[in-house]
Amino acid sequence: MNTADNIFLNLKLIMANLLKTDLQEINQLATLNSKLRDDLGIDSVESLDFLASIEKTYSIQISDKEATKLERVSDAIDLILGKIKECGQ
Amino acid sequence: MKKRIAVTGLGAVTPIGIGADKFWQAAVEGKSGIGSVSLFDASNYEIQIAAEAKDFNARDFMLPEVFRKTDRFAQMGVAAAKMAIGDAGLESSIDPDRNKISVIIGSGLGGSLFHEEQIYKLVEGQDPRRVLSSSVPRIAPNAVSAFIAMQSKLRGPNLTISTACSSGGNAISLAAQMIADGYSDWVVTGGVECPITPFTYAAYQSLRVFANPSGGKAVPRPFDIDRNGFVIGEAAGILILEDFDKAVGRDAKIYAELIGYASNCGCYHMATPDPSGEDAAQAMTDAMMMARIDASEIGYINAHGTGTRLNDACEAKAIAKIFGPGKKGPYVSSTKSMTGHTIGAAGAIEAILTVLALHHRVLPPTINCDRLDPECPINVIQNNAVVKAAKYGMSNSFGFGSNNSVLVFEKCEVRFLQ
Repeated sequence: MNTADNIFLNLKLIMANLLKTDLQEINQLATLNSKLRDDLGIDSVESLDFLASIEKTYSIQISDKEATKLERVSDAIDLILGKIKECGQ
Repeated sequence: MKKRIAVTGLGAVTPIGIGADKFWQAAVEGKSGIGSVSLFDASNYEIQIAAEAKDFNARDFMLPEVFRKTDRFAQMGVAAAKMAIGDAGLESSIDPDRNKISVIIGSGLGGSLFHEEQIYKLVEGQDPRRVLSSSVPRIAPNAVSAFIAMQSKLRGPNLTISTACSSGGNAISLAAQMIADGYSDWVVTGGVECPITPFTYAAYQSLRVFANPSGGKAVPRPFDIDRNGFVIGEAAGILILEDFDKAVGRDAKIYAELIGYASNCGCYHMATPDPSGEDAAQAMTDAMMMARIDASEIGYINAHGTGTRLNDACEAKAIAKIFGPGKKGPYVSSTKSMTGHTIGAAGAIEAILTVLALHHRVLPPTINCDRLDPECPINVIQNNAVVKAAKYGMSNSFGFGSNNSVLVFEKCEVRFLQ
């Protein structure tokens, strides 16, 4: 079941892999309100890898326009939930 | 040269020691850096040995965000540069004009590991859209010079030289030119290579240049009659070159002076040295001409000495031709016998050993050279270091594509403060 909580956990796993750290550290760093760039240090190139991992995990596609609107972790969760709903998953 | 060039800082990541001091100590002791491949699963490879920098922990030298964005080769370069810059006291003792500090690094292959990993995934059927966007800045050969510059805000020219096994030597030559011509006051220069990856290792194995240890004798065996190839290795070697007058002005520790260099192309073959050795001999002659010294004054040569049948015979022929045969010539060693052949880093780590040999008055050995090949009639330092004060030292690097680079250093007598 793709609930917001489950998606948040998956995003933490993606971020741990991306930032070469472990889930424990990500749990301390990342909240729903965390800014991807300023708080988590995900730079412009890494954000593309972050999006690619989300697309792969949820079998969705994120447009450039949608990507530019992602500022916080919660934005990513909302976008994924919306995409899943669109697809009827 | 228009300006004199001082060597004021050294940094090294090698299979036999991390840091220039440990590297030097291990080289003098004749320590071998050869072991089983551990960086990837080599169980189905015919040859399974390499010279890995097993003690290297990249996280000790850089912030986590630098570590995660870089390939192993860039990490080694950043680490060695940090050591060299610290050794030179560039940031602690003065506030240099950072527009006058260049970074010129040699690398034959660039970010091989990440490149290969991404290609495998694609070949195995991964959607091309899933190739990581961070591949490009990791793979690029100039990732190493860029990341070195970014760590210390070095805003001068930033270049990467790729000429196979002579990359490190050529990078140092160009760095010297930058100072001699007034473009830079300091250059962070050297060579970096991490070629122990599944594809690159297989490709060199297919070239049949790897030493085969199956005969029971330790390898590689440069200049030995039973030599049968080289052992591939990984390393980073960084030197700080500095305008000599500026170094004296700030009372810097000066290891040596770079007084001559030469580079040429033998135009013979992409992977085979010219058996006549003429092109190598010409490069050595040209470097001595720039240094304004006679062949009889060279006291030590750190040879390219890979341990292949062809390279060592050609190089020995060239050395014997210029310096005279056997004991008439200067002492010669191949430190690749200990470090393995580190491709684009070789010229740099061997330049470091040449500089330290002049400074410490000790010449490192060629290990595993038990019976000198009559085809190599030169004065090889066999198995044990020699205590000898040499005033001038030469470092040879010969790369694929008949690409030759030679450096000549002079021991700095006046301003060595240690």
